[in-house]
Amino acid sequence: MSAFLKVENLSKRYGNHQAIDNVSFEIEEKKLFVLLGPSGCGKTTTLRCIGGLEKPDTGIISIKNETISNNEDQIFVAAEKRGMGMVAQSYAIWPHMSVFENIAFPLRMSKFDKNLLANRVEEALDMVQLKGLGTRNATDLSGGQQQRVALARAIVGRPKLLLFDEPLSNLDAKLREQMRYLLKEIQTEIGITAVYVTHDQSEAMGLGDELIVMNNGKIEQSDQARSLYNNPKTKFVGEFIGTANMIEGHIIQRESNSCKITLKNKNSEQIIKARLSRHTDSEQGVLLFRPEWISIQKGIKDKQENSIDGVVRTYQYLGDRSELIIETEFADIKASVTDDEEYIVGDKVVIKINENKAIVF
Amino acid sequence: MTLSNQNTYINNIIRNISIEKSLFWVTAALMLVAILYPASMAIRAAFFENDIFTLAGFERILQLDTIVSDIWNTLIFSAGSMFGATVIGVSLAWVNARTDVPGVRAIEVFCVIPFFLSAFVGAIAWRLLFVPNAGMISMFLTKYGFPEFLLPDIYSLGSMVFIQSVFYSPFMYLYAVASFRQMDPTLEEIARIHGAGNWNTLRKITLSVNGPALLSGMILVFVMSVGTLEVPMALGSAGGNYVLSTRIWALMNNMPQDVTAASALGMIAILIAAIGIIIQRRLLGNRKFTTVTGKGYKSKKISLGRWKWVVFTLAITYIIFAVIMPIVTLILVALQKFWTGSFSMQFFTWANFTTVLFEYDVTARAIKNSLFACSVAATISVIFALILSQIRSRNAEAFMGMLVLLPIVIPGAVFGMMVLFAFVKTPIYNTIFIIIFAYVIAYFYLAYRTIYSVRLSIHPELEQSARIHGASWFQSTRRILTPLLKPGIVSAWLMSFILFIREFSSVMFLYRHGTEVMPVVFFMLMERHSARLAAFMVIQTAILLLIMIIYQRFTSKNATGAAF
Repeated sequence: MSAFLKVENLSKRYGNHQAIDNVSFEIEEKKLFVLLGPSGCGKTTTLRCIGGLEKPDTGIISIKNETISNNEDQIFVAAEKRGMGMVAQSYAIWPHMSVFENIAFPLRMSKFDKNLLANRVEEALDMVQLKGLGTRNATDLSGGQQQRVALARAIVGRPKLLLFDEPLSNLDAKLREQMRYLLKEIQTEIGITAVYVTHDQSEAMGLGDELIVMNNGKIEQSDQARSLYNNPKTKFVGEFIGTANMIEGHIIQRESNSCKITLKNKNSEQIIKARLSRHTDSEQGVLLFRPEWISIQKGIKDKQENSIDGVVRTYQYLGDRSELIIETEFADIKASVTDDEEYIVGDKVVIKINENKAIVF
Repeated sequence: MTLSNQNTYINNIIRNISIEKSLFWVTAALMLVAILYPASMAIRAAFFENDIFTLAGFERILQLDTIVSDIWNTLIFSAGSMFGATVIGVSLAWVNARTDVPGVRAIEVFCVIPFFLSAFVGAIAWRLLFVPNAGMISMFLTKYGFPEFLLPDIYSLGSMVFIQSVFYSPFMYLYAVASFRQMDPTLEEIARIHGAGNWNTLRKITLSVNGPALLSGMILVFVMSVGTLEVPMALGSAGGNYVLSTRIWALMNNMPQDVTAASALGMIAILIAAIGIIIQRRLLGNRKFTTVTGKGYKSKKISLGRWKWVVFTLAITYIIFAVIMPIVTLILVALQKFWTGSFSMQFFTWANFTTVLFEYDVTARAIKNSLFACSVAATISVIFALILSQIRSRNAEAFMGMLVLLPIVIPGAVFGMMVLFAFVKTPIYNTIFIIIFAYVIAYFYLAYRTIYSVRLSIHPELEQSARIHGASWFQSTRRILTPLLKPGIVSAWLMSFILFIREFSSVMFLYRHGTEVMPVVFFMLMERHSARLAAFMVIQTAILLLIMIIYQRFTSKNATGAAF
């Protein structure tokens, strides 16, 4: 399938700050595409360039092979002519208009048939589950409802592309989860292509068909959620997505995609076997593993392969799993286990690291 | 009710009548009387002659053959100035707050200078430029063959509206710029994304969202224009274009004096102002636009592209018209032995300055009077504002909100007349304190709003903890609150001082021989000695600009809430 939205070599600089640095990616039609990263990573600037709110310094943006922004050819289609919809973090509900008028705005701007307008607005209201609230003053609504109005407004004109700029980050945790489901449902139901910017990784993983992790204006990795979590290509991605334990060490034995790393300390050293990230060729390495990529055995055993001795420092039983922090000679290690074993602070344990999962960068 | 219960009940009452509350309500009541008593005296003057109820005043003004044209002129002048000031002020505010026009900081400073100049000074300067046969520009143009009939008539109603608009636009500017800056820029961006071009975004979003603030500014300019004597006296009277305020002044000061008719006209002026306010309230409805602002992304300003320089040129043109030309004209005229319509080195002299500063007793006295009256009034305003912004209760704040708005409703000239009626039979009548009284009451909202807004930003716990640690109300106010309020106090004092020193309309009713303040002397010199008048105006402008510089230095260091 050919790409629906195509971004090539996009760059944008503010003074001395390189906001986006040569970013390229493609999005397939009807997919929800997430730009994920810490604040200041360039994700919002990228989104604004796509929307036409920001003019890139270099690069080409095209939708369905039609160029909407290309500096070399002096093409820059104005925001209002790009036929997009957008939901902003601050809701951006116009306080001087009713809910109905807020939603009707894109239709009025596109000179939509007046006889069908009311129907379309009602339909959109229905879709965001705000049926019957059209006459209300927009600012009388709660935050969650305002965000629904913003969503209805963004989809009512059936835009080519839907842009989301951290739409849920002003909502409280419970509402955020509800909205996440509603949003995904609507997006698949009307089959619209969407670009979604967020710094919240669980939101990103839950929603995104495809994700891009950005850092310092550059793309770190572009993949599906499962791959990002299990096969991070960079240390940054591994650390940013999910929880990660990281211990520095010395790479001693290299194979095509695995290696051995020595974790050193004043008194002892330990050799751990793990996968090797392609991007590492230096001697110094960092061993990265997730809390559930380990198993724990109680009591002191003989030296075992791929294991570290430790002492339980905290233990929390959470029903479906237990979370522990284990003090070892090399680092404090976060562990998450699903066995029903009960631990007591001070218990001596052996941590076995899964060599098929842990990665050395 | 048991005895102990009753005791607690009484104790509660006693505890609730605390010092700060009694001080608040006593001061607030005083303020209320200070506004209502003059108003009632004016109403009385309009409807009573020799203690007998009569409509004779109204009958007499209806018989004036000028009454229709006076009212008509007032409406045209006030409404025209309101729209003119809105167009200028809002455009400048939009340009400065929302676009990438070059030199924003410098333009910003100049945009508010006309506010410090006063419209009377501006009108006189413009008169010196365009007066037929002797105006600097009109003479220059006719000399090079510019047809005389195409020259603007400086005394016409149109010129009055133009100059009033130029010099009152800073009010609109200040209202609009604050509102534009507070607005979440995403509101505009979302409109653009959903298909609105620049024009639709400006019209349907920017101006509409800021509508309430703009309407408040507009109605203020309207009411001020209804009551002003500045431009109508500097230009209108000479051109035969009377408005209600100048007619009232004439009825009060020309022989034969007709107090009843003047008061009746005052009622009509108030009625016009009130109708304006009612229309504004209707348009406003109960809408109060509170917006959620987005965190994080700071929106860039609207890129004007090639238009940038067009807009820049327009802004500079405004600055030249409203600031540079008046000031330069006054300086040139002030440096001439006598004014012939063009500057010549032959007549160069410093004498006008030395005369008005040291030799001519009225001008020297007026400077002293102005400085004295304005400092005393500014100090009183700040003290009252401090007391009245103390209480944190819904009732008290609502009451104050209404109280400070009352004098704004009353057109300036009518207000001057009211204060005159209130004190005419008291010893204060012949002293400068009657002017101080007018200053304080007319502009109290400014000091109050400035201090109140700073006060709002101070968390109540700061004082509560002082009280818990043993400080009395007085001690906590002195040691905790006053230092925190200091930025608000200083800017309230300076702003009040500026407004007082340029106040023209009300003091024209209140001065006596010996209590003249500077604007009064402007009027006295107006038809007598252009060069001395110009020198005196330059001195006042210098004082005002000096205070303005202090004010801007001060407020840029201490972020304070704007009073407008």
